[in-house]
Amino acid sequence: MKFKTQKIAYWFFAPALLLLVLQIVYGFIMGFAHMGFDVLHDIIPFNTARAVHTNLLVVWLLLGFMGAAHYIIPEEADREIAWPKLAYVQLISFLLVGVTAIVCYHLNIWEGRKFLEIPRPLDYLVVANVLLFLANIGWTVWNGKRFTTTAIVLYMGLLAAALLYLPGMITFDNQTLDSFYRWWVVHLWVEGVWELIMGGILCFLLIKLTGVDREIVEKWLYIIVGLTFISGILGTGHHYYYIGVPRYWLIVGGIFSALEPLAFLGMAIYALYMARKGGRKHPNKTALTWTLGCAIMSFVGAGFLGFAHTLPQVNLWTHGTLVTAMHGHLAFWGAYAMIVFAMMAYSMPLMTGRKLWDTAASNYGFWISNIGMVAMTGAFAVAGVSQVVLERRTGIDFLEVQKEVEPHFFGLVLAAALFTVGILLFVLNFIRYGRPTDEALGADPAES
Amino acid sequence: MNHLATYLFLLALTAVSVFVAERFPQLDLLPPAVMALATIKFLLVAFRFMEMRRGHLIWKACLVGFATLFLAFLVVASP
Amino acid sequence: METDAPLRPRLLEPPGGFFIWMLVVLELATFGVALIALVICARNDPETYHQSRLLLDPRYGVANTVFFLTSGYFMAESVRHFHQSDRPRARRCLWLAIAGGLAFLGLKGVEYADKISDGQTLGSDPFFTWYWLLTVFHLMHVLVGLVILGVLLRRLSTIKSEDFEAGGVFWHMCDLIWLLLFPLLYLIF
Repeated sequence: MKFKTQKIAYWFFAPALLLLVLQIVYGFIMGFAHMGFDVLHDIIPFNTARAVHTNLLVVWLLLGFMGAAHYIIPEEADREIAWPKLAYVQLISFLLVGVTAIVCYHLNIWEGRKFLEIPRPLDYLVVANVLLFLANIGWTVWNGKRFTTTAIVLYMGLLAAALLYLPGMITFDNQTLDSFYRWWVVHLWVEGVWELIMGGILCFLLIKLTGVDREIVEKWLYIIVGLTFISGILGTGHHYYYIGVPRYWLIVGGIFSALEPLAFLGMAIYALYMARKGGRKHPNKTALTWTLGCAIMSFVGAGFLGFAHTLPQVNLWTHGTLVTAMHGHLAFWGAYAMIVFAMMAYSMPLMTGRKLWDTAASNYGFWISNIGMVAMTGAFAVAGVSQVVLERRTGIDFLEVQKEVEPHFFGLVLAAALFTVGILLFVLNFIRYGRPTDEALGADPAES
Repeated sequence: MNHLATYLFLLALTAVSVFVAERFPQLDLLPPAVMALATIKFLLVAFRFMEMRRGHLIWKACLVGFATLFLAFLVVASP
Repeated sequence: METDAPLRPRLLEPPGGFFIWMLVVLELATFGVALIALVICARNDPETYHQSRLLLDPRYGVANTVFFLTSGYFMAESVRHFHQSDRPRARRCLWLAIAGGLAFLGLKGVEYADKISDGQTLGSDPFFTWYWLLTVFHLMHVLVGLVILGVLLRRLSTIKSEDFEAGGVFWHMCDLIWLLLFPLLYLIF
């Protein structure tokens, strides 16, 4: 840690992990409901649990990205964060808005479209809040002692994510138009601009952890990220197949869906190549494991499993089934959760001065959570395929099919329990680091 | 064979494929024949202009494999 | 061997560098999938594709192929001169390569104007949907390639050898794609 204000990152990471744990709790509520034990139905009905589960995901990932930005930007711009107090104000207000939204869901106050359930007045608060964040980070970048590609890509990703929040706030009378723009919010985030953020963080970590020249890492990473970005934006066409848009979306969506896994594969090969090429042996092996794990799992989850159901012929049957849940879980975990974890694993020793990078908790945390998540994906896949065949191909009634796939959710809950153990180990390790301290000021020891 | 010879050969292949396509439009073998010529051009550019003839065997295999697969799919898929 | 290339080629260091070739493979795979999909679609509706194909003027396609091959030839020559440290010749060849690319763009513009004035646009029939999507995506690569060539030209005196090669490989990749695109769209249906 070179700058005092990098410590702010910790205060974003801690609540992010807390919200992740809460997200998992709601996941379990739904898992048990799917198994037939919908005991909390009167307090937390399934639709509420689902809204909370997905919204918490978005909120904790955004907190993670914001934390990562507070750590990376000072180092890249070579100066302190412009207004540290504002950062705390922004953090607290962001959390307040998030908690209010979740309370609203339990009181049945929400908007109907999935992922965009947050009540309208809160939308404006989110916008104001994100503007504060962008102003703070933007001012720091703008007045920095140096400009790096990494800082600019990271900032552009955050800015574009904020801009793409706006289409979700427009109301349309036309169902097709409404669906068309609904995909611009969360979907264009995950397929497009969040990949800029992920690319920026990945680049920062690879430079620090492998010791390969910044010039080489940056040049090629951003070409690959650019490819992923463009294929992701046009690949959003795979949500436009049968909603009433012109036919050419079938071709655009199909072709760019085929490119997406290849671009992710490129990113995985790239990260492994750099790790192999790097001469420096950074002692923080856990951070490197999470970083490379992110590159590989984002290919498996986002790329490969995404492609499993993005071709028009397949998507005709699978849209909106548990097959989507299969892809969604491993994609968010591999591409975004793991990059945030990698950033935490890298920055915590430097912020606290404690070198807990090779503990049993951190190693087992990685492997157990990943094995658990892959197993969950398998359970979702089996349930999803059964659902598609029974409900969509043979035309059995929706609720009857849900009864049929109940056993698969037993497997899912077991796998989720394993995943949870892994996450708790990570959280335990995080807590053991303690608070960040100014005594830890100084460059990354591996760099000197 | 230097670049100029490669270039002239590429032009010649283009001329042949256009001639065949315009002269015998009804021929059943036309699509595979024209695409085979295109694949040869593809490999010429890759190996000569892009200097892949000096590359590692795996890269060469990638390019030849791509060209062969492409042609095979095309023959199978064409009407 | 006429240049300083290593005698035993190494997997991780193809001419132009590892990542540009990874990009080439990704791009080729994507365009390859698209072209195969086009042929499969055409099989279900051969008459429409045949009638619409006849509306394209193969002379445009042939001329553009010639432009592109010429441009590619000069690009290859430019890289050769660059390796022999003959910067003035490398520069001249690079200019000619750019000129070939611009000629391609110009003719493509004329052809597009032609098609639009005839009312054959993106949505008019399946063949033209493919025609527009594929050629426009290819055209975007050409535009990016021209920008890259411009950068090479500006930095000719300082650029590293591998980066120069990589720029050349990108330009040839546009060539590769066009070589497969041209017969499929203009000749065989």
